Amino acid sequence: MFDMNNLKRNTTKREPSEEVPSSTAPAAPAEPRAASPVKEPATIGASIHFKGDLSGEEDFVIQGKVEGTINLEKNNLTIGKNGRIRANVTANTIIIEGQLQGDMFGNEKVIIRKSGNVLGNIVAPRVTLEDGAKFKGSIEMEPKAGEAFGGGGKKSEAESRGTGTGAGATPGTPDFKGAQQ
Amino acid sequence: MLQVAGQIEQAGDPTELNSLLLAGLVERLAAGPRFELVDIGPAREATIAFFSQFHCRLHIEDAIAALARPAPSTDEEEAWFEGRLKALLTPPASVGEVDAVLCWDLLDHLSRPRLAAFATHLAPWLRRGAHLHAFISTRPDIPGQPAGFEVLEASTVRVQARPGPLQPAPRYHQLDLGRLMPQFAVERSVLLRNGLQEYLLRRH
Repeated sequence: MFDMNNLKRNTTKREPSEEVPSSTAPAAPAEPRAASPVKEPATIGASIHFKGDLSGEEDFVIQGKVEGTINLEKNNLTIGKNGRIRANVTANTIIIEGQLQGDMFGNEKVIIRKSGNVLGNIVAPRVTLEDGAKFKGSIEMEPKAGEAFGGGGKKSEAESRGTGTGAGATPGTPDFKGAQQ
Repeated sequence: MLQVAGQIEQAGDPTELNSLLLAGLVERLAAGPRFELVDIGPAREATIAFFSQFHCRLHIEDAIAALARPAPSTDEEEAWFEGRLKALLTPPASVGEVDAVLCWDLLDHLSRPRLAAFATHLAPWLRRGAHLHAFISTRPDIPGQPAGFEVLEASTVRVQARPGPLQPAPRYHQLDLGRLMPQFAVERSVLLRNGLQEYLLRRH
C-alpha cells in the first residue's frame, strides 16, 4: 500500500523570521514561539499513473491517473481538472474537477465542480454539484439533525446508518457506515 | 432544411412552473421515513440542493437527451432503442423499491413504440403504488430537444427550453398513456398555464 505519510516533498516549515507580525496584535512575548508547519497538499502530478491503494493523513491533490482505492478519512481530496480516477474514494471532503469513476464516501461533503465528470455513487451529509458538471449515479441524502424537511422524511438514527440493499460498494450499506464510526 | 419563421424555438430566459402535482408527490414522499427517487434527467444543482433536505436516495440517470435522439437507421429503430434503454437506464440496486420517477418532458420526445418500451423497462424498478411524474405538451409543436428542468421548491420547477427547430408534438392523452403504459394508471393530471399537462401516474 502506498502511504502518503511518506510523501514529505510538499511539506514546508516556516522559519521564525518569516512570521509576519500583526499590526493590531499585542506585543509578542519575549519567548520565541515554535514555528508551526504549514502543510501544502501532497500532489500526484499529471504525468503520474498510479495503481493500488492510496491512504494517508494529509490533504491530497491528484492531477494524474489513479486506479484502486483512496482512503484519506480525516483529510481532503481534490481531483484536479487533469485527474482521471477509477477508484472508490473515502475522504473528509472530496472535490472533483476532473473525472472519477467509482463510489465516494465524504465524511463532510462532496463537491463536483462544473468541469467534473463523475460516474458513481455518493454518500455524504452534503453534496454540491455545480451546473455544467456531469454526474450519473445515486446520492444518499442524509441531512443532519434539524435540517430535515419538517417532521416527515426524517430517518431514525438506525435507519440513517444504512438501509441500502446492494453489496458493499453500494452507498448506504451498513458495511460502509459502520466503517466510518 | 427549410425553416419557417415561428418554427424556431428561441433561447430565452428560463420560466418557472407552478407544479402542483410535484408538490403533492413530494409531500407524500416526505411523510415516510425515507424514499427512493429516480431522476431520468441530468444532474442539476438546484434539484440536488432541494432533495438534500430529505432522507432519500436520489438516482440520477442523465438519459433524457440520449433517449430522445433518433436512431441511426429506421430499420434498426426497435433494437437500437432497446439497447439504449439497457445502456442508459441501469437499474438501481434497489430494483422494485423505487418510490417515484421524474421524467420531465421525456415522454414528449418518445414515439409510441419507444414510450411502450420505456414503460416496460422502467416498471420493474418501481414498487407497487409508486409514482411517475411527467409533463406532456398540449401544443401542436414542441422544441426538437428536451428542455432542462430543475426543482427550486416542491411546487416550483424552472424550465429552460433549448433553442432549435420545432417538431410536431405527439400530444399524448390519458387514453394513449393507458394503452402504451399499461403498467401505470393516471392518478391525476393538471393543465398548466404554459400549455404543459402535468401528469402523475401510479404503478399498478
